[in-house]
Order: sequence, then structure tokens, then C-alpha cells
Amino acid sequence: MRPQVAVADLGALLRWSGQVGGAAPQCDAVVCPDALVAEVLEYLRVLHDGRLGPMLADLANVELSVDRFYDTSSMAATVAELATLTPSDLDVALCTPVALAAKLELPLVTTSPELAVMAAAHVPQVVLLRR
Amino acid sequence: MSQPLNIRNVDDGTVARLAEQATAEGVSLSEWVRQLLDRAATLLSPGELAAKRTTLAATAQPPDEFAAYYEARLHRRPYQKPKAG
Repeated sequence: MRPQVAVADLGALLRWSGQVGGAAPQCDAVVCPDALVAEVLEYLRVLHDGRLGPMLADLANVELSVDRFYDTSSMAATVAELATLTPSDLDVALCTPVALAAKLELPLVTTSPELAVMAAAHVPQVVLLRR
Repeated sequence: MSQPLNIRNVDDGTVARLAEQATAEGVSLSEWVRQLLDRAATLLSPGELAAKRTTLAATAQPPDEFAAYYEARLHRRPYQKPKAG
């Protein structure tokens, strides 16, 4: 069933906003933890070789596509649990969408098979977007 | 400038939920709905977003290329961007 609102990880967010090609999330709106903003900036810094103008233009495009950014500090404990209970070495900031989906009881949309596996035990629905 | 906006046939459950949210935020229902509308107006609509994705499709990063970046980032490994061309 097509969810109305879903939590997007970095990959799903960049597809949702059109920065990255491939199938976009099939939902009406996406929400994200605000920790992802820094990850988007890191991605854009690499993509644009550190050129500020294109980074800011693309950042604005991404921000315009997100229904709401949620405060990461309010779910820090959940993030910590995921980072320590899950037998993985995944970057903590990139795991924050899993924590948000768990907290809000919303589906998670991701392009990462590893995040999909991690999330399966914690969120009501995981949608893995194929390449 | 501002103007009134009357909306008919709003579901009872929706109104009740919005009232809960307004209470949690410490504002009136009208003020809360006004804030929601203000925020919604700053965003792209689903149709606008779909059109934008179509426009950006020609210049979007290929998904395989992004996947290589994402996997490296997830594992905090160095990433070497492919050379253009």
C-alpha cells in the first residue's frame, strides 16, 4: 500500500528531490531527521567539488521537497540504541532515519540494503528502492 | 495582507487531531492551521516535485554512482569520485 508519509534516508531523499536518478519513493510526502541536512551537504560538497554556489542551489531544492525535518536530539537515545544494539559499523548519523521511522511509527524508504536490514526489526514497513 | 479561508467538510477526526497538535504547541487551532498552511505553501507540491524530477533527470547522478558513494559513507570509508567524462 502506498504510504502517505514516509521517512526517507539519504538515498531516498536524494531520489525524492531528483538529485539522484532511479525510482523515487512512492508516497505523498517525506520527512527526515535534521541530521540528514549535514549528510546532504557532505554529499553535495563531494558532488560539486566544494563549489559553494551549486551546493546551496541543490540544498535549497532538497529542502523544498521535504515536508518536515525532525529534531535529531529528541531521539538521540533511540539512535544510540540502534548504534549499539545492531551488530554493524554503520555511520550513526546515517542511521538517524531508522530511529525517526521507529519513533514516528512511519515507513522507512531507503536505497541501502544494509539500512533496510537494520530497520526491519524496528519500523512498521521498510521500502528498499532498487537501483 | 491576509484573507479569510473557509474550508468545508473537514473530517471530524482530522479536526480533533489538529486540535491536539495545537494544544501541544500551545496555540489556537486557527493559529496552528495557519502555520501548517504557511509551511505547506513554501514546499513543492507533489505535482511540482514530479515535474522537477523530470526536469532534473538528465543531470541527476546515476543511481549506481550514488550507491558507491553511499556505501562508502555508511562505512566511513574514503570515496573516490569518478572522473568526469
